[in-house]
Amino acid sequence: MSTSVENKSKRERFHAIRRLCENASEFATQYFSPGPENLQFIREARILVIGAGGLGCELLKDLALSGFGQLDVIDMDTIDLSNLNRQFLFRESDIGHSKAEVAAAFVSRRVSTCKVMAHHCAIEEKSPAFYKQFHVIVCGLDSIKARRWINSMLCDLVEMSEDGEIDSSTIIPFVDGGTEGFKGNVRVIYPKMTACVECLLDLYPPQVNYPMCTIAHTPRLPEHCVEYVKAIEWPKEKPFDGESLDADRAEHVDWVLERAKSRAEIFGIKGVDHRLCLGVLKRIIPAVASTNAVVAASCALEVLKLVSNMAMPLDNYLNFSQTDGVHCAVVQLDRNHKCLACGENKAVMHIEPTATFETLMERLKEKFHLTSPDIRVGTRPLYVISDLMPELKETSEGNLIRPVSELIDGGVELLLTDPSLNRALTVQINFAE
Amino acid sequence: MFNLRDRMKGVDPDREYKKVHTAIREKLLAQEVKDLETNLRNQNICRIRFPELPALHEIELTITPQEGLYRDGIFRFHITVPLEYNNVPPQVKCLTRVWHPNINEDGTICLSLLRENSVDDFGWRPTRNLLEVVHGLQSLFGDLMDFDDALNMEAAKQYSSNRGEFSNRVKEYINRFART
Repeated sequence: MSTSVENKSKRERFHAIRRLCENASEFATQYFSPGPENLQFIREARILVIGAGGLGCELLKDLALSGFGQLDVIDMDTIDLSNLNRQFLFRESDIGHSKAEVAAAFVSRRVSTCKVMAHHCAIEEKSPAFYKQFHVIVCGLDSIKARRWINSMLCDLVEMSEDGEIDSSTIIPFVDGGTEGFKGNVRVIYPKMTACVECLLDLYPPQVNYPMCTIAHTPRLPEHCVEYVKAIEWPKEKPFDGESLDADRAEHVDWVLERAKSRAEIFGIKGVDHRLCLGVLKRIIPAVASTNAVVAASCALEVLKLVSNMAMPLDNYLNFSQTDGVHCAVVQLDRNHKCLACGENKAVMHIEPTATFETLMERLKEKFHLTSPDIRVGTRPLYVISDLMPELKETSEGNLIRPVSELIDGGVELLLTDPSLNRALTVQINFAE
Repeated sequence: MFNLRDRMKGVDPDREYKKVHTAIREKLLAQEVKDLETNLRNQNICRIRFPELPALHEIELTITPQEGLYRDGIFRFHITVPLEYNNVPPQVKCLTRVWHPNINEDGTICLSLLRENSVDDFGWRPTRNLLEVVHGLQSLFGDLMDFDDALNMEAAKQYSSNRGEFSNRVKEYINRFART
């Protein structure tokens, strides 16, 4: 291909996106103004994709082909044979390598306008400063725990301005996609403004688990038999030289299957077979490529809308199901005002940095009608007087006469508990001049 | 309405992030520990201490029942509150060897409220708290002792076949393991 043709195809590459960016439209938001800078924003926006698996691969592809130029992807896993049927950025020769690194390399190589930076680590290993760099965060995670973590992080990143109002320039919109078999969902979250992951936590059905006494003595289901072998017989007999149970190793699974079958026979339980055994050991929920494709596409579309303003983002929870026919509908879910991650119970207070800690305490007591508060910064105790923790008494009392600036930085959040409160109170302390 | 553009134009990369990211668990623990202090005052059956101060998520609980079969035994428990609290229950291990239908000799405890929430409604719920856990554990030495759905089958069987022998073994274990 000659250079001039290459340049021409590069210029015209995102012509469809360009058309949407440069023309007025009934669908655009109130902040939209047509012009080439919209496409420029798309190119330069920093987007973080969390997860490089089923959803992650689709997300990276969709975002790169929508004109985004600065992507980061983070995933702690390595590539496995079972991923290759749908995680199309990986090949057989990539098995064992980092998903994030291989995915990033593939997309960067294939879409010249897009640079993807890889992070092969757990999301918990990254600092708030890392997450602050991004304009939008998109998630293709496979666990509730991880979702709660990033949700809590993003909620915490939101700051209050001097007058106690939320500073909306510190809000990082969070597009969260999830799939399980033939079902999936997408939601758009503005931390501290709209319903967050924690607000909606009881939408998730309870996870399946079995009580230890049932497993040990009165099993009734084939699953109980497999769990028994996994939880009790394996650690007791330590087969294969004491290796930990690895559900990906056929010999391990066969060992468990044989024992589970014998146990099932003793108790007269039917239904223990290889498939059930593997399902219990791996807690497998089969993944369907098309569900991932639909959910990821919807997520990428939301990111595009958020960055360009070319249309209203989804408000705020999309439900997708293709078990029998296709169902796709959006509902608007409300915030939970008692939410532990984003709910009320946060305030701002000003103090001179030279004032004593005791003065700060008195002001806090007055403003929030407290009787005898304990004050911490995260886990660090500043003033904690408790029968259960007598070790802290001396330092606490010593802190009273110290100037506030010696104990905390301006802008820091204090965690207060008090007999008059039934929930801990968070107060941001700003230094006044 | 939210406009991402404000952030994209005006992002100040040098504006230092000063806040400390406080996990939900820490906020909950700060409050629950306060509640524990208030409720466990003026009694000496249950005692709490924090071996890893200032961290509050590792807790040592000592229960000294004042009545019943396990009277005057000193039973130690270690409670670990995981990061995903309170969506998951605290993890509790019994450090004192005891002859009990619901506590194994290796320290595993069978108490329904400590089980991760499951479809049958008896397990952990986010509306529960550490105080409920402490009371639940205390009740294991009293009215929550369950011989029908037991973890230590041998103990349960002994109770139904020879009550005297069961009591004796309980006392024997207390004398050998639960005196300090």
